[in-house]
Amino acid sequence: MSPVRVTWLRTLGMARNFYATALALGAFWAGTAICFCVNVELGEGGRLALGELWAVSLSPVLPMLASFLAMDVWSDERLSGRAELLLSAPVSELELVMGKFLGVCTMMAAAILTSWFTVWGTLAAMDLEIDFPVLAVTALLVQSALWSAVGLMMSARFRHAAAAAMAALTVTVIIPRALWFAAVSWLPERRLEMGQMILDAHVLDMASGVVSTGMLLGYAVLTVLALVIAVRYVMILRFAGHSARMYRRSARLVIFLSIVAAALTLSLAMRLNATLELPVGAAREFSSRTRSILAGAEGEVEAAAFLPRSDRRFRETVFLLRALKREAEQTGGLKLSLKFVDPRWDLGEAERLVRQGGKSESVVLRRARRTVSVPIADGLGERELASAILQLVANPHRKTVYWTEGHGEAEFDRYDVWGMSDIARELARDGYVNRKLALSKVETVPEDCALVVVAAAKTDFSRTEIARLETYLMGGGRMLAMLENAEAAGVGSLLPMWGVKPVPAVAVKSNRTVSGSDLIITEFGDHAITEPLKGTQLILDSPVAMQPSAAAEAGAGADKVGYVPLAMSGGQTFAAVGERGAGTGSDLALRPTRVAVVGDALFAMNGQLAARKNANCDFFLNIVAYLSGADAMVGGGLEPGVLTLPFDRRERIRAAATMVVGVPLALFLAMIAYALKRSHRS
Amino acid sequence: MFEVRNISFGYTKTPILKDVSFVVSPGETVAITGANGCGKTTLMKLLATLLVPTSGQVSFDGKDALADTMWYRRQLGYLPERVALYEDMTVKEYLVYRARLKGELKRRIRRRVEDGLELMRLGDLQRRPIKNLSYGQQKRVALADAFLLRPRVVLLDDFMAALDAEMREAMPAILKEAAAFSAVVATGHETAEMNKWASRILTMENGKV
Repeated sequence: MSPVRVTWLRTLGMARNFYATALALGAFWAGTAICFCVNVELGEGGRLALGELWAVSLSPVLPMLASFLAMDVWSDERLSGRAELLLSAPVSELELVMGKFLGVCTMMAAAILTSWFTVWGTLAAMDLEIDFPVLAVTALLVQSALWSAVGLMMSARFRHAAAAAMAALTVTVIIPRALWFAAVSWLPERRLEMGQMILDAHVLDMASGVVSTGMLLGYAVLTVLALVIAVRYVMILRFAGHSARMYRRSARLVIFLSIVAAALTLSLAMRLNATLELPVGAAREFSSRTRSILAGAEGEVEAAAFLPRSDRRFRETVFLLRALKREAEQTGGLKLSLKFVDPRWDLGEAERLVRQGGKSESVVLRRARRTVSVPIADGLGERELASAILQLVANPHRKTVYWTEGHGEAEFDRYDVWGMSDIARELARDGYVNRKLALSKVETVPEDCALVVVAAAKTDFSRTEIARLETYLMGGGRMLAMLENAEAAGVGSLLPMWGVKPVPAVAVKSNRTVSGSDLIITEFGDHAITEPLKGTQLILDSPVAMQPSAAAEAGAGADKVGYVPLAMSGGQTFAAVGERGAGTGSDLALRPTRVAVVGDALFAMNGQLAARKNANCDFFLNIVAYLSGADAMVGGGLEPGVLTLPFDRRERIRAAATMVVGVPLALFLAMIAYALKRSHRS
Repeated sequence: MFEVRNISFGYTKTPILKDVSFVVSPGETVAITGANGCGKTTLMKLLATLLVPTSGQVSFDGKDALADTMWYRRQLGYLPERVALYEDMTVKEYLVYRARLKGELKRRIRRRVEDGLELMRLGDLQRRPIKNLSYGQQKRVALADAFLLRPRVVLLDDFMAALDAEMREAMPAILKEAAAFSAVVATGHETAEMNKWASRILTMENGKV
């Protein structure tokens, strides 16, 4: 058995029945569980998975545990006098230090894994699956090695364990975190640029599969440096006496040169900062819309994350892009190639991106000669990326949405709360062109019209206008009508032909409402438009109900009118879609005509979209996609991949109590019982 | 042949040891005596390579101890003045651990440990945790450790201290048995007792032998 292994086993043996070790581990499990519970509360609604939140919860607590576990591995040997026996054995200082280092590392790994089982077990008992974050745990182990080495170094330096622990804590916890908090406090405006605390950020980086070789090299160099210094401190023990001043000086010189070499290597590693991408990471689900865009597109798109790596948003952006690339590979349509360009370091690449029209702090998507920059304002969403891809891959002949005017309709170029500029911008992102249409001034609806939107007309359309609209619709046209009132001002006379008859809404007790006048809708019909929205909610401000018209009930054959309710509440329908074949005598090859009716004039106005969390925007976009034939639906109010815990308050408290108190206490008592049993037996 | 040649050493500028020289042949037991603080323990630490001399040389079989420290330590059995063992281990566990640490082959460890236990009459205590032993018993465990691998150089620093009368009586025979072919250097205070087990007695005074 090699001396390293013997020393390693002895180090473990010393901790086996050590009451303080039990106490430290118990405190560690409880501490990490507290951090985890807090992080979950803060992180809910974000994109980090539970496993990653657990890993990042461990990051600040690990150096404390390492300091405690390593504090007496050498100092106790010195204080008790056992060091003499160790150093007179035919074992080198390096072997002794390595054995003790491995012993502490093993205890750290055991602590990390038991902490994982504490969290995993508690959540599994509550029927919540949590994936094991392999790479994040790897990052934690790499960090543990460094903390263990520093703890060991301090233990070799100081004769008293408490002094060693305090010195290790100062180096690994107090100084780095104090500097970080000071920087954040003094430069709050640069908080976004600085990103997260570098140690915690590394865990998240690794969790998303982006391995920074610079960081790994940094950890490795610092770990080796700490071990070299520890070995030198042990050697210095032999160099007592006046005559050994030269030996002590040479040992100190080695320590100094090691520090210089480590600093140079670290700065070089940070300067190069090469990253390695691993094909792992938390799974992410994309909406059917994104999937259909990726599957429907062909060719290659180059996506470049054009922002500093230290930026807080970099990680999330990279995570999203990588997941998108994986999804594209699985669907087999679009080929997505990724690049990460730091404007501070990758100067050549940054210049090229700028020349091509890319903007800093954005994701620059490029295909052939076309470039689209998606700004990363405060996080990047799946929808924006999918829309940008759609813009790049879509037919250059973009679809045009015509918004009627002249009857008091809501305007898409109005930017206040009553305008619809936000939804128009979403449409533009999806590749649509928004134009106004004055039916009184044109002979026919323009040929490039993909869809006519009648947004809250307050006055009736003239007969001529209705006739022009009818001609358009009977020729395979599509229309979205948002109703101001039950009289269906504007196009009221047209709607029954497409099976929809507006009626006044009746107040029903079971209706859910926030303000009294609005209506929260959570019941959706079985239709392509609403299928992805199930589980979300629509908010209509002054709803108008509707029911099938006589045409919907009486039609047959080619004149059969299809009526599908989309959104319901309290037995009433508040949005529906009507579909019928092309007009009698027309070419059968013509596509069917479709009309969607929403019983709220301004459900997609700026004020409503910003007011409360709702799926109104997605509902509108889905209707437009369905009517215009894009068939790319949006996945609901909350994007997939967003963390939501299916626990109520009581279950949360139960889970937290189990993780923070229950399991750590049980494990602590088990260790104490084992130690007592051993002690009693002996 | 174990040879100490002109060794000098001092913790400060004032030397504690001045040109100490002596030779110990295999099978010979040399006792070193002297007043408290005369430098016996420092000399033992120098011989055990726990300290580095200012000048002079320690050699065994013609090889400098500091030139090939690992080889030298493999030949060495050392009992420090202050015995400190791992208290959580039993006697047997401790001796197994020490044999492994010293690099003994796996197949020989059991035999070595049994011999050590028998030599120091620790058979009855082998399953006892060290923390439950008296200091004298712990010293016997440390002695068993020093003789464990049949070292060719044995350094025993004040080994008679804390041993009971029975063990003191038995020690000459034990030394004869365990270190029949070893060069033994031992320190102590009682010259009369040393006569029973030492081939030669060296006296240290003012840092000189």
